[in-house]
Amino acid sequence: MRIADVNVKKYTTILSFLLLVVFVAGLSLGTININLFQEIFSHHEDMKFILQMRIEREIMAICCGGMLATGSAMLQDLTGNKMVAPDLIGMTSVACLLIIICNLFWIKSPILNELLAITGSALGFLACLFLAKNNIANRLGFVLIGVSISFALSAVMQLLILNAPESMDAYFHFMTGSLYATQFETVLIVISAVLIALPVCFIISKRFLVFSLDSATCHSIGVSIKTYRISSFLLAAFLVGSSVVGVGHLGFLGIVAPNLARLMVGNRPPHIFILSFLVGGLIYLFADILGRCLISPVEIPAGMLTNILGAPLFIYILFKYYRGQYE
Amino acid sequence: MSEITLTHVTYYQNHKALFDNLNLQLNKKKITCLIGPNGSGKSTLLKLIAGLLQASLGEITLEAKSISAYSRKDFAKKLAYLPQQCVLPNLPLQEYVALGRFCHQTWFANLQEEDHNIIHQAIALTDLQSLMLQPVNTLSGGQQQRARLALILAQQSEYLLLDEPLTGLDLKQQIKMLNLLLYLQKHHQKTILMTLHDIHQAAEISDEVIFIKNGVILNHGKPEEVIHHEGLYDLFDYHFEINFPRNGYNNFGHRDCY
Repeated sequence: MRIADVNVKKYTTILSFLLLVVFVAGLSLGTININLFQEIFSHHEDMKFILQMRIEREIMAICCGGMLATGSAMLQDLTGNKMVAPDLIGMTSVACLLIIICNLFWIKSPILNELLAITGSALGFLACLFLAKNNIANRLGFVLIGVSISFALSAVMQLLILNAPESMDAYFHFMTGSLYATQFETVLIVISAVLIALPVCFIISKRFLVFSLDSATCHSIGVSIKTYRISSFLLAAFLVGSSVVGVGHLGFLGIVAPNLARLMVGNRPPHIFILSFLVGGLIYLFADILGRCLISPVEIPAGMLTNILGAPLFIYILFKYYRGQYE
Repeated sequence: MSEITLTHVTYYQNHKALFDNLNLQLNKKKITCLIGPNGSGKSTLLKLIAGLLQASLGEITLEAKSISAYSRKDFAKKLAYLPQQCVLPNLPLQEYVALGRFCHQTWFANLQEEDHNIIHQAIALTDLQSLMLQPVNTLSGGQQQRARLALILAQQSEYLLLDEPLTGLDLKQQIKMLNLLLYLQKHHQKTILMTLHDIHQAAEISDEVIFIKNGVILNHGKPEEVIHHEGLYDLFDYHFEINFPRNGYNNFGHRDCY
């Protein structure tokens, strides 16, 4: 118990430090490299503007990547299935689709987007559950149904965007999970979502061990398991939805970050959530900066880079599943 | 004196009435054994009292209050239930047993010093101190059984419903477990209702015995009055060679078994 706690502290410190380093480095890197030490004291308006944009973008990256990873870790514990991730079970696609439909045919409002995204991610999970006939014990089947929902909806989304009257740039980031269309209002919403969700998440996470028990034992020790499941599911939907508002359909981060966190400290729910947040934020931030610098001035969407990083890990988990080493 | 009361309980299983108009009263601070053939409804009866299953008709009361009127946590503080079988999670024993303190915790507080003492006590009672940090799913069958008992002991409820607590235990551990139950009843004033398969053990440990067959209570009373050749024939349709009591009724605790 104590050894693991020490590990948690160690990894939390290391990850926070890395996050800070990458954050500062990211401020100065890009199409135009800025020497931070000079610019802080100068009053160059253009530079200030670029810095402000980069700060917004990086905060967004950390918050959205982190929330997606935490929400995903929560879903994985809830379903007892480490292959579940919001993008793989159709949550993010439904959320994106709702936002795009609303924006195209009705109004654009960041707050409405947030509500739609949360509803959408909840609906996506429920649809997946419904199509899997409530059988989450069949782990691979559950994920496959989710993937098919996800693909079907992505196709609809592409159709809508291609036929959209306005330029598709405004929606393109919903499909790939990139950050270049970040708006100030969205940043505010995402930050407040983090501030609301994380404390709730850490209070709930202390009790997450009960999901590892069977239902009869849960009943005996006084857990009303239904209430627990529903409330933590809603919280996960909130986290995922809020990240969708910021970055759209972000691939594979949801499966990579929690599993990396598990590799560090083992499957210990209260700590997994904190570490998932840090790992998710770090990977996404790194992917964004990399995408900005690799072939500048053209940007590679960060979502594509997380896909490239994430797909091999997903395959690795599938291999483990088939070899029967998967718990 | 009767603290668990079942009045006119009817329960349907697969559209067939398993219990029809069942009435039962269980006394406080007593060890009661349910005895009956497989499929006679022993486990179902325990589940009904534990609130895992809902009776179709009739009422089950615990200390003069209907069990459905309790909140989940309050009910867990009063009554703990040990299921017959369950899959244990990949958690260290200590954390697993700590889950038993759930009903005493609030949302914001962590485990207190007192909680830790109770957890250690529960582990000590079930003789598992040496396995404190081992994941419970890697323990042997008998150790798992004791770990599960430790979990519900940490709950500190007055009423214990145990569904075959001796399954999977070796002989010494069976005797230790029965001694533990007796100790809990004598010194912690627990009320214990359990299902047992060994008639001899039931005769020695229990204050009361209930014979149950096809959802009907055939006999309910003190073991010396109830357990006899004819009664057992009615229950199992089989002639047993019985030789009671080995150590005298209700005389289990005096036996030297260590």
